[in-house]
Amino acid sequence: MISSIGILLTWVGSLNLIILFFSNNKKIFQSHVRINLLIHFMLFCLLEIGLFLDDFSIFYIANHSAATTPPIYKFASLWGSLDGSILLWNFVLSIYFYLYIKFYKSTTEIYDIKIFALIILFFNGFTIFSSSPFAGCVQLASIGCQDFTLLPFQDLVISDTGRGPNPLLQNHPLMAIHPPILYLGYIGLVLPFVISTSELFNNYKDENWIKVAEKATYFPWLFLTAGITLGAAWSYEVLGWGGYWAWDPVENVSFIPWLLATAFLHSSKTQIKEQTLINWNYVLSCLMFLSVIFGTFITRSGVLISVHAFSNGNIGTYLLIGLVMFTGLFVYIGIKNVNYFKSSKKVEHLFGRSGFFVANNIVLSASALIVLIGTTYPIFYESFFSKQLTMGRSFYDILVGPLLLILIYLMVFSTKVSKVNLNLKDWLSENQNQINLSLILSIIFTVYFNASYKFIITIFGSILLIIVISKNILRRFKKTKLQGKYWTGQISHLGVGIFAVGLIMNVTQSYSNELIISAGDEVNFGDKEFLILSPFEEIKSEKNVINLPIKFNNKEKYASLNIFKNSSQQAISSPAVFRSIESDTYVTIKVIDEDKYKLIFRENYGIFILWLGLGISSASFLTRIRK
Amino acid sequence: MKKNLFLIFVGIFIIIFASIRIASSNTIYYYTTTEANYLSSTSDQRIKLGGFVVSDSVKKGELGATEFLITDGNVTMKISFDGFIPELFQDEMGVILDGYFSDDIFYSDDMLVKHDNEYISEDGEVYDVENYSE
Repeated sequence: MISSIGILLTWVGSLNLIILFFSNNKKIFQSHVRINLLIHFMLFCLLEIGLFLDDFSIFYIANHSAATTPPIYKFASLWGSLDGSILLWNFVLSIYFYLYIKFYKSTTEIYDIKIFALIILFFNGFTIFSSSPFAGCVQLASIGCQDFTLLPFQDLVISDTGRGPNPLLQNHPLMAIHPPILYLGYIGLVLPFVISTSELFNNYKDENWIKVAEKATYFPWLFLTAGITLGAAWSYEVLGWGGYWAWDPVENVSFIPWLLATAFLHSSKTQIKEQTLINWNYVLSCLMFLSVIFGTFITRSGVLISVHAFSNGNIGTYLLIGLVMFTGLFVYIGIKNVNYFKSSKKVEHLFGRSGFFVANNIVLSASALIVLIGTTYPIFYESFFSKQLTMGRSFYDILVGPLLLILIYLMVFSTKVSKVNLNLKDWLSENQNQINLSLILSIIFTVYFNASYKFIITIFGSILLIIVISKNILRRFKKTKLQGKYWTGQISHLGVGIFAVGLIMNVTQSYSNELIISAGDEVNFGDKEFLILSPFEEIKSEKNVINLPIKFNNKEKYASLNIFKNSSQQAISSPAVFRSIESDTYVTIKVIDEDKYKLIFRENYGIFILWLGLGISSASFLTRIRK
Repeated sequence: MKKNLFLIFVGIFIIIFASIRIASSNTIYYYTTTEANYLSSTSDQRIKLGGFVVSDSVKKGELGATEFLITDGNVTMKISFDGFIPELFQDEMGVILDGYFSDDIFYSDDMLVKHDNEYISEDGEVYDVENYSE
């Protein structure tokens, strides 16, 4: 029943978009956009209802949920695998379509409506022709379902128990938050694409498009930042991978659009103020969305093996067609506007404000390119030399690390840079005290951590950045409130400075050790002493958990091993984390051998500082809210 | 305009060139046991080694390590595995191990179980895993 309603409703939704695409009536589009949002909202609710009612006649539910799955993971199963996540994808696109009409639409033309409708129609098409989360089950497997139908009102067979979600995805409530937030950011980058292509489609009308595009990029960018951060927190706090960032291909393809969006948020400002870089801004505004589709293509088509990649035969080709189609639109409109791009003014002062923005854009785009090369290199290598390989993380550390250092120094000098060239002499004398203070602090840091000269250059820049901005903020805060884009920028830069300190501490100071213990042992790690208590087993409906209590300073935490039922995947280790401002002690179970336990102890430095920095950066949006 | 475009292309070229130079020395390769046989046995470079577990070769080693042999049909190698063993691990199964060679023994702490293309479930039903769509 739910299956048939879902499939019919998807058809109705697509029909609505087709009407919208072909209609030239400027009065009716608003109601069509509302209907579109309503339909996608209903589809979302419908699949949730199916998940909660354990409707195992639906292929997707039989294979990705189970009767024993706890409610929160039933809810999150909607985006636990490919077909369902496309439903969420379309729902988010529809939300943005509606928000676009309400807040960002500035022209009376309707090319934007057509382009937007086409994009949603394209992704809807996949659920109609290839695989739908509402597809009914027509042939059972031993557990779950083996074959499906894309047509409504078929004779369906009902599986008596579902397969349940991937164990990795039912281990923490963050599963219910991280993917939707990430999607809100990732897919939101469709807005600048639609805005710039549609406004330049019918020849260029007014200078307004860049302002609208900049405004529309900001909130998706914020969600993308938050989504990536939550993903990092999840892998650190729950999955016991030991780190927060692994340069995994799926992480990379969310990072590439983030780098490009960050670049765009900066370069758009020079066009608004000085009419420079118009061509470059057009390229960036479209590249963000194209990199989203490209990223989805390489991680979802099965060309790459990765922790996150759930692959499906057809989606690759389908996304590739989309990529070619949208790139074609981008190139076509670009060529059409060559004359307009020629009106772009030259950046005159290389050490003035625009010059800084250009430098920032070079560094960020170079980083995006490096991450792209690192992600796709194994694919090319395998197709040319038929040999499989994975990229080591040192590749990124060597190449992206120095670029971050350049960015930090750019941020330091951009705290006060006029339209014409920066007067370095004045700047130095004005900030003499701050420079001295940073120098002293960074030397103390270096001696305390016994670190190398590489460390001192980066830590000095980061501390200087923090001090200079903090002083400016304090001085300003005494007089008036912090409002406007300048302060949004400065506060995010402050966050980046703090983040960088945490990052450097983490990368250079952390150490780990493997220890074999049994219950009752006292363990020395670093200069800390831990007491290992007796383990106990918890039996839940979906998994068995072996908990090993560890005591430190009267605090007791569990390092645990989750063994999921009905699952061929390996067990998942959850860490015990003892936090402090300077460093976390992070304990994971590696092997259990009768009454012996092999534990990995890691001393992770700077984690708290890292999160604090990211938190401050994210909070910078508060200055953007006007009263 | 043309000069800028030229500079951009030069920049892109430099980045690609540098990346590929650095990539070639920072990648982890997958080897079969035959291919790994040609590597110098003392290099402590981390590689990924794939092969099938030799029947009745799995035994307990020192300090929780598990020792077994893997083969690709031509060359057999001794493994000392010290990490979490997946539930599916059994004789004649394809595995990919992450680790390094020392004295002709491959030390590994990370194992990926490679399902056969054909996966036989408990009730005897056979799935073609590679072409299995969800």
